[in-house]
Amino acid sequence: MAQRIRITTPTLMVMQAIAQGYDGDVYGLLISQETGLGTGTVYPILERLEGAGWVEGRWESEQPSGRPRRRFLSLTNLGRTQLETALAARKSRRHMPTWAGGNAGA
Amino acid sequence: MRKLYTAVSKGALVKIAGSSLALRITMLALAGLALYVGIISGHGTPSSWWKLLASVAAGAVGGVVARVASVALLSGRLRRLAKQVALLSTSKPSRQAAVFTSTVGCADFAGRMVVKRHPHLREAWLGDLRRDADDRPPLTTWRALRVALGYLCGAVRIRIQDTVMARSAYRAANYILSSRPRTRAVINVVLGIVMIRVYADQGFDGWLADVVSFSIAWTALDRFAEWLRTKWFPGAVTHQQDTGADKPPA
Repeated sequence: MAQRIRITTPTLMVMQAIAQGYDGDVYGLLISQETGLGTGTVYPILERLEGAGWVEGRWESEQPSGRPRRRFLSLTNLGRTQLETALAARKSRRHMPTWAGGNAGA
Repeated sequence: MRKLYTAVSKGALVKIAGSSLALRITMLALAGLALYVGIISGHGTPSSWWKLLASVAAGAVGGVVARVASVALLSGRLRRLAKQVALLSTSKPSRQAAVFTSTVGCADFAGRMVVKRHPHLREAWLGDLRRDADDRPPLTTWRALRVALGYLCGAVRIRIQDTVMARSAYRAANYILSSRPRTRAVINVVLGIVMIRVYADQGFDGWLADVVSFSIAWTALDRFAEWLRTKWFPGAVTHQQDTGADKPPA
């Protein structure tokens, strides 16, 4: 079931972190450290994105010794499209003229 | 047989320790049993009141002992869990070991809070806490505890998402906030009704005197709605039943 999610700044940061990949598999704690957001913020966002079908998770392929497996995350095609749309919308908003005559994002 | 009995009793005690409701029921049952035994043995004679009091006291002490034993067992279980995720080394000082145990306890508890609809999170959280050392530098003791406390906050937020956000009031608020013209239309309608009411009560002069207040209120509401829309309001999530397909394989 497709769901609508409003893309707030933390949501966008999480999606960008997943899309970036950081030269390997991306998991929740890594996103938290790379974005500077707390784990209490990142995981609820990830659950929302996963519920909406924008992000998919998979378990570590092999059972590591001495610890439980991690859950790796990646953007789905829908998520990638939504991210591109959101980034384009944000970019266009930045270039909207303001009453002062400059750019909103400048 | 003895092993089976030990396993069953330990499991029951751990379950009791994990659930405050079960603990209360157990203590009440013990006190009630003591009361019943006291009444039966005394047959209502004056001397029986001492027996009754002694039985109630014994029941209360039994309940406290059961609680202490169950908490001790739960603590032992958490220590074993900490060793499983290799966070706890026996050679570490006791203070650090206590922090590690608390860390794993927090993560475990947070995972259990959301296990019904998000069964994958518990293992994922514990796995994240102890990632490969060659992948990234391992978390320090206090950093790990901070991360685990974040898991607790996250679990609370996810529970709120699961319950509150599925309600119609939240959906309505979300619908209104999802577009700026819609939000402004609602503010205009609400303030318009108030202005009509003021006009009806106080006449044109009273209405004119309040125009500045209305302008300030409109601006404040608009700014607040905009703040809600962009910063705080986390977005719509339709309640989705977990099919169990995402459970980690055993």
